[in-house]
Amino acid sequence: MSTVKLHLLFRIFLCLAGGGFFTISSQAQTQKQMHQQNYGKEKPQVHAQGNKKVSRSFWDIYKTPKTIFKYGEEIDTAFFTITAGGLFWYILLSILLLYFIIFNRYKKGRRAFYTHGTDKKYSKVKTFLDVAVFISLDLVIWVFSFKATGSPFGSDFGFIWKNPSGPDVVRVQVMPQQWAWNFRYPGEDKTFGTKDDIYTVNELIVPKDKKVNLQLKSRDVIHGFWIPNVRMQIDALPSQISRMWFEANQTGDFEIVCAHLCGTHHYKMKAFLKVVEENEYTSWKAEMSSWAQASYDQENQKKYTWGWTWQKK
Amino acid sequence: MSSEHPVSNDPRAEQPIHHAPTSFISKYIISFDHKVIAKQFLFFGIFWTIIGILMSVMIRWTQAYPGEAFPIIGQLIFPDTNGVIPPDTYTMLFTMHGTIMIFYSITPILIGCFGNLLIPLMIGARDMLFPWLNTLSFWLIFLSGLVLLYSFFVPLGASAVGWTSYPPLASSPWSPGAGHSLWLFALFLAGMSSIVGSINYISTVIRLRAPGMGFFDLPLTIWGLWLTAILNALFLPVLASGLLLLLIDRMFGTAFFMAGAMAPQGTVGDPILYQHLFWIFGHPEVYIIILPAWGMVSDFLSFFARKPAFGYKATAWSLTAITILSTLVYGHHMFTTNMAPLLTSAFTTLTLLISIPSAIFFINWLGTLWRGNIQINTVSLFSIGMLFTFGIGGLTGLHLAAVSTNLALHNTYFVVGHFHLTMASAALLTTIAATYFWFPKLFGRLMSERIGKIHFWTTFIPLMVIFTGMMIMGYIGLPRRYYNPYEYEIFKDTLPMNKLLAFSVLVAFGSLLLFLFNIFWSMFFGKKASDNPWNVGTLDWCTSSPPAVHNFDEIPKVYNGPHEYSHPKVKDKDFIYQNEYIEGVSRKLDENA
Repeated sequence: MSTVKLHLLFRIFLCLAGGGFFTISSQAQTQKQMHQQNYGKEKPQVHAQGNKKVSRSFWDIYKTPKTIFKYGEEIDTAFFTITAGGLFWYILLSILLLYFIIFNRYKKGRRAFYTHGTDKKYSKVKTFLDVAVFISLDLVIWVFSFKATGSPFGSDFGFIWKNPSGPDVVRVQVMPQQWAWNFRYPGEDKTFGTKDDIYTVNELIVPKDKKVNLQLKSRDVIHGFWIPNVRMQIDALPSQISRMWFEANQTGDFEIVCAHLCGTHHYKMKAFLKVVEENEYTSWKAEMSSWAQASYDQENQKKYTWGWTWQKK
Repeated sequence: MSSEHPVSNDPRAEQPIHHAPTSFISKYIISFDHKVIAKQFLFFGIFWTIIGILMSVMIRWTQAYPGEAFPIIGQLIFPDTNGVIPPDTYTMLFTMHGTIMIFYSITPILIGCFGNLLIPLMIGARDMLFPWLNTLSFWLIFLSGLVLLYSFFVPLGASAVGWTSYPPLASSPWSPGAGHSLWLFALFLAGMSSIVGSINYISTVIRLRAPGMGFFDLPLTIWGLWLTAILNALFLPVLASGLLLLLIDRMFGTAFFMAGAMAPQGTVGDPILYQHLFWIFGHPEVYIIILPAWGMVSDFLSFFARKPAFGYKATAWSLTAITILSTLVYGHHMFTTNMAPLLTSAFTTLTLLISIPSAIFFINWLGTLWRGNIQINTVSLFSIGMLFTFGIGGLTGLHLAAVSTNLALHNTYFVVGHFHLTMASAALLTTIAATYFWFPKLFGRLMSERIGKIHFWTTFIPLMVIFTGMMIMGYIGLPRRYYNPYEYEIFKDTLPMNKLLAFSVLVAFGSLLLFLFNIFWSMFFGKKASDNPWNVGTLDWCTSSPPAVHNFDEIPKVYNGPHEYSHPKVKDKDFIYQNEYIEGVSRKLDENA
């Protein structure tokens, strides 16, 4: 088959492909217009806030969610540093690549520069570049990463995993299940497993500027407890108790996201972190605690049993 | 067959020319010829690639047009929901997309097809050391594909627990039905296929290299394929053990990975054990996929810059160093599993170390292009495109290596963007380059350059757009494996970006169809190729295209390295064949070689 015929075939293919794309996009339009009760109960909401449309710029949308934990700021710095370093080297290599492709383009009769790259002068340049990459990327990342999590050589090593204790710390047990988050507070008597324990579903209410100590154990499969505004996530496992702590420095409502595939409705496991002023929290806790005590179901005590207790360490 | 040949110390000498097969079955179906098996792997891989990419189109559609029917085939496949993809099907789609692309698409084509085709040809052998094992390797993956295909038609559907298949979700209480059990069995067979193939690759390279071909005269493609085979042989058994234990859990009520309320009374299982077993394989697996690509790109850049590979030995040593290091870093996939802080620091440190050898061979690639005489054709375009995609992909691995940023990025689209840039872009672009390059060796014809260039731009740009877009979304925390993220305040504004990604995926899918058209049209009507259309000197081009069944009339003797281009003393052409002796340039053959 000659080249001309091939060209023709190709043009026909392009028309078909273009027509195909047009059909697909117009079909989507028509579907949307005719869309009445297509998939009924499962129809997903596109906007969480009803029809209120606030248009945000690209930079607004793709800023990280505001961080409410000082550790989160360290992470943002670490991320920025790694990105800056990577971007620097990537721009450099892109410029070099483009330069070579444009200025070293094949010319008949021209000869490439024959070298295996083993001469001492090349080794010097390469070693210099390798060391520069190592210091500017690896070492910097290493330092910044450990600045955030605590250096292995310092006294604050692994501070993000060192769960705080003391009378001022808010302790909460978290038990995710398919597909909701259960939270349990110890109530006014400060002991878990008593009648005044406060149980909430999909709502974690904590006071501002107080350390919150979480212990998690899943009821069924692995779930990922993740608060984007805090920049920390930990997997909740059925086989062991995992730990996480944070301290929110702003009030507000923040979303808790499940970060580990846990089944069909993994995407619907939304919970809310509600950070409130300390006095608001204290009064909420007192009120809920006494209500829990009063409405304790003596006959069905099993439903209050989670099967695991608060670990002192 | 084997009884006719006396046992000898030098298997190279024992490569008699057998009669070529004559019947249709022995020529094309049950063949022991590595070139035919390579083609079988290629067509097998192409079939599954189409399915896998179609699934990715469906996934992006769901993200871009939530609640809307999938066009054209939606009503056919999902009649109960009026063509809309339901959430449980969505979980099946991303599970199977990952599984298919890794085990049934990239591995069979990059390692199965090109490993089989190139290892004997490039080292100057008549076939693999174990032709029977070679045939077995293909039919095992074929059987595995049948099992996986069957799993789509069982009552509760195919596996839907993520390609990583973590228990407890993947255990029977939460994933009842045969779908996932069949998946486990299919992957077990696929693992066996790769193990068997790897034994062949490793031993063939060690034992059947032609006289004069030392390890440092091998093309870097063979280095990549050989190191890959070593990782495959070492770590697939670990995966197989994890899969088998999970399968036994599902079928016989054991509790290796069961814990908590659903575990049988008195048992002490741990789902984290599975994660260890999986990732001890899983991390080397991603290097298994990229190592042949690194080797091939190193060669292609040298071939088309008409210049020796800059720092060949350093590159070979770097590839080896990465192979070894890759075995020590798997924990960075498990930072969120309540791991001890010291251990996370250790894994972060080791993972960061991998960037050192990576930097070495990347700089060597730039050195190869520097002051070269660069031919721009489809092969070199795809190779240079690989450098751009691998640049971003590799550098974003650093964000994930550091444990602090990992905790903010784990299971977000940042991870998805990162591994797609390194696997679905870098390894894929190299696979495509390899197809264009070795097409004459497979089919005796050249693929169309014109279509190839359009294919390049309509693949490269969408890939960069899609996966960079994913990383931007992952940066703000968009989680992966979410059917509908728009119910969350933080993520509701990512819809326009997802629409852009869906459009790009459509363009890339069209480009894939264009590529397939190019392959199948050129097979029958492409321009007939000369024996050495690329003017390259490695041993595979020292014989006809396609080669005779016995590859070489005479086992070649190797006098030169694989990258002798633009040698100042050779005036009539700008390359030297590896088996061509030129006085004053080539080295003499060692008598013991």
